Amino acid sequence: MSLFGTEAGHVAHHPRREPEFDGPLTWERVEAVFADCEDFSHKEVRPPHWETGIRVCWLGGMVRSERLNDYVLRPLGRLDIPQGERPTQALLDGGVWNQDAQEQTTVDDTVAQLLEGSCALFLPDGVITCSVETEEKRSVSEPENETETKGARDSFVESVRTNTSLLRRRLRSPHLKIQRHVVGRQTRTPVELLWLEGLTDPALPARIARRLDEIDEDGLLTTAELEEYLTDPKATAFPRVLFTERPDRMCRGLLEGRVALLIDGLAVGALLPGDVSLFLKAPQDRSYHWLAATVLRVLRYVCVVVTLLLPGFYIAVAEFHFELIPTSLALSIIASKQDVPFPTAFEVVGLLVAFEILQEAGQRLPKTIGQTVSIIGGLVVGQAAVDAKIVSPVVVIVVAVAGVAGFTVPDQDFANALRLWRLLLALLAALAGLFGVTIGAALLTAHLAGLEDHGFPYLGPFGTSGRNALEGGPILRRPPPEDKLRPPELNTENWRNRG
Amino acid sequence: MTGRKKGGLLLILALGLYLLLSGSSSDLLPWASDITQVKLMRTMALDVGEEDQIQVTLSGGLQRRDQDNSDTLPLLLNQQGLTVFGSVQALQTESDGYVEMGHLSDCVIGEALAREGIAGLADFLERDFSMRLGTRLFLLAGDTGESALRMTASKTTALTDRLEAISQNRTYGGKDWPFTVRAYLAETEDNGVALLPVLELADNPDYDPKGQGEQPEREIHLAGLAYLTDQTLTGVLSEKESRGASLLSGWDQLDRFQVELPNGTVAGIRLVLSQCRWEPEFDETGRLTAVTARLEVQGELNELTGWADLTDTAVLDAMEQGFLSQVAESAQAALDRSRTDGADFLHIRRQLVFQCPAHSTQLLAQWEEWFPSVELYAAAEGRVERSYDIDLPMEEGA
Repeated sequence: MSLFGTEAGHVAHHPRREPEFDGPLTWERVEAVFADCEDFSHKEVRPPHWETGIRVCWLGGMVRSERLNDYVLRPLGRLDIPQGERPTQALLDGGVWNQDAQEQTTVDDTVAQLLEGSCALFLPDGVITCSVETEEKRSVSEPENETETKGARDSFVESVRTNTSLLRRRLRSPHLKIQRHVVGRQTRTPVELLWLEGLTDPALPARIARRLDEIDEDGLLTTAELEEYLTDPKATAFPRVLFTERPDRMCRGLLEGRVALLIDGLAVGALLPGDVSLFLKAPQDRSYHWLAATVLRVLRYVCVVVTLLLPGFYIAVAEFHFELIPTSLALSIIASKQDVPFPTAFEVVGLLVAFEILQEAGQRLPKTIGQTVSIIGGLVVGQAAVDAKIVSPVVVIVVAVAGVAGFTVPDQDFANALRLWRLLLALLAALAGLFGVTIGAALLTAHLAGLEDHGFPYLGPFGTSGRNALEGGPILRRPPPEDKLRPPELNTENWRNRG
Repeated sequence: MTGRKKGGLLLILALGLYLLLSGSSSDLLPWASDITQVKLMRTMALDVGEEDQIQVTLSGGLQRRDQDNSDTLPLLLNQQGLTVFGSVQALQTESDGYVEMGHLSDCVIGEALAREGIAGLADFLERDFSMRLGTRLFLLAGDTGESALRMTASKTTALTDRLEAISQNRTYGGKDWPFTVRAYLAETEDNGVALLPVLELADNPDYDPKGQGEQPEREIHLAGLAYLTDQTLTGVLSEKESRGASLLSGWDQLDRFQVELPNGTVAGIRLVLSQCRWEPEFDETGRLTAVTARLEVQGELNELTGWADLTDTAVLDAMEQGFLSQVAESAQAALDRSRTDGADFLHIRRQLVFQCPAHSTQLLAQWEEWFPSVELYAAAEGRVERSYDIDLPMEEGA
């Protein structure tokens, strides 16, 4: 056992059993599969002039009763099959009023269809499934985490089909391809892969489709599970997949030449491959004037440096390199730290940890209580700690500035990675001053430079290829008429995005 | 290569890099000391000690400006040694914290030590890693640096504050205070002569012996300039010579002049621009015979003690001529002193080498021979801006 449970190397590979339910496809067999399932329902319908009835089964709650009654059970009750025709074929030819009637031959497929909201019809010469799934879902609402003042107000919901429709309404192109995959042994979660044909590098969707098919786990219920299966290497805190709840942002990604994933049950979509610049672009960057957007982007990059380095730099100069501080500032720091019993490094690291605890507590609690916790923790306890000489005001300012600067990062996953590295750099600074910070920053740069996602380097936008130089790089947002090329690092089939 | 091996390799590389950067010191990690554990020293005074030793006095200035510091006098540490470095190191044992020299902003040298020579101090300032080249240098006339530190300290002020103010009011200074360790070392390296400002102590009329340190016992003022030849104080310039030296060096902006007009009214004129152009004259053999320092100045009328008709050109001419002649006289006084003493503290040679590259080799080689016989002249040209005339109506005087 290790800190994270049993080490993976000690667990033998346990491939999925194929087929899961072997044997002939019979009513008894399917009934046995769903034994002890309270929601498994069935009914026998006997069409006129038939000696035996047709058994119809479904899972309660997964189907819409009106559809089952009106378009399956009612036609069955009136079924009149011409002499000599196979009942299965007669039903597929219009005996039931269903657009998605399919003949099944295996128990696995039939069970899968039932679980997706179909009903199964057991006929004398075969089995047919008809899709009668319910469409109960949350209605489309405003995005909660990626708000924008001048943009669209709709966001993804938990239904993958609704989400594809939101994309289709914006991207009315036949080149938008949607490929369906099912992930999860138990959950059988539909995951849809989207890309723009003729624009996206064709190798990219093929590679991601293969990785999706290789996923073999019980369930896919969260975004991180998908990301960690799709990206290598795992040992990094930095996200390689951008999760967004905004359809317009996903369309922008598709137009740049990225691929998108929509997962049934999750109200977010995924864009990949991701790179540093993608995570530092905010949705509203395209809504503001290009000059304002550029300034805000530059500010964001500055904030990344501040949030990463400020605590470490403060520890380094206050414990190792006093001569770097202007004299008047040094005197102010000394005055503010009088009577504080802890060394600077302990103060900063302790406060950083406290800051993380407050943030975590605020997120776990309901929104209103979370805000109260933040106020009590940040203001009341912070002020009390300063008054009690437990921490110095300068350290509170340093940690607060670093924390607030981190909030300017638009992507929460990227911000989390920065939080982790901020703490690491602070510890290195406590160990070796500016040497430590420098080594930490060098390691971080090397780490980022070594990351790639499906062959696309994480720092690719900062490369110096000809097209990057032409476009002015990833930080500046040029006026749309001048921004004529797609991101070069994505190897798109079609480079130009406008005339 | 597996991820774990790659991580290990990275760690080894990082450690290797660290050892390289740290000079493979036996102490693997740098030595940390919290900022509250150090004593920041602001001012250093150097004097002649006993038995050929150097006395070093360090002042921490006022440490806690944001708090009630009514019971705190600036920290003073005093030690003697054969070297400045030795004395400073010896002071470490006297303080209850690490004596940090990295924030030393001023260095006051007692006159006695300056007359004996400050080569050791210059070497310490140049070599010691914690010293800043921007540290300001001062000479103290007629007293010891230690006295200056002690007698100008009170519970509300310290010598470093006064020196900061002096350096910022720009008398004998331009945009940046010119008398720093960097400038001193550069000038000494150039021709062995360097100018330094001179301070002098004066009684503080507000001082109350029973005041328990509320007011400093003495005040300190800027008294002019002095020059050191081969790191030894050899001449103290008069006020006029000091003004001339600073005018010729382009430092003396914001200086003030008082010119008496024909009707007895005195005009207060502020110098707002001063530029010096050196014009050499060579004979047919290429020998330097004369140098004219041509000063271009601009003044601004700031005050009239009585009535003066500023629309009268004769009055204006008299004002300008008075101003220019004062400028020229000051400059001439400095030039005369330089030639009389044979000390090129105005760095005329350097100016001419830059200005006449064709003669640079000869100038560098034969300057010592030529300098005593070279005629030095000063000339001033420029004008006085009237600013606005408060005697005229607004629309005319604006």
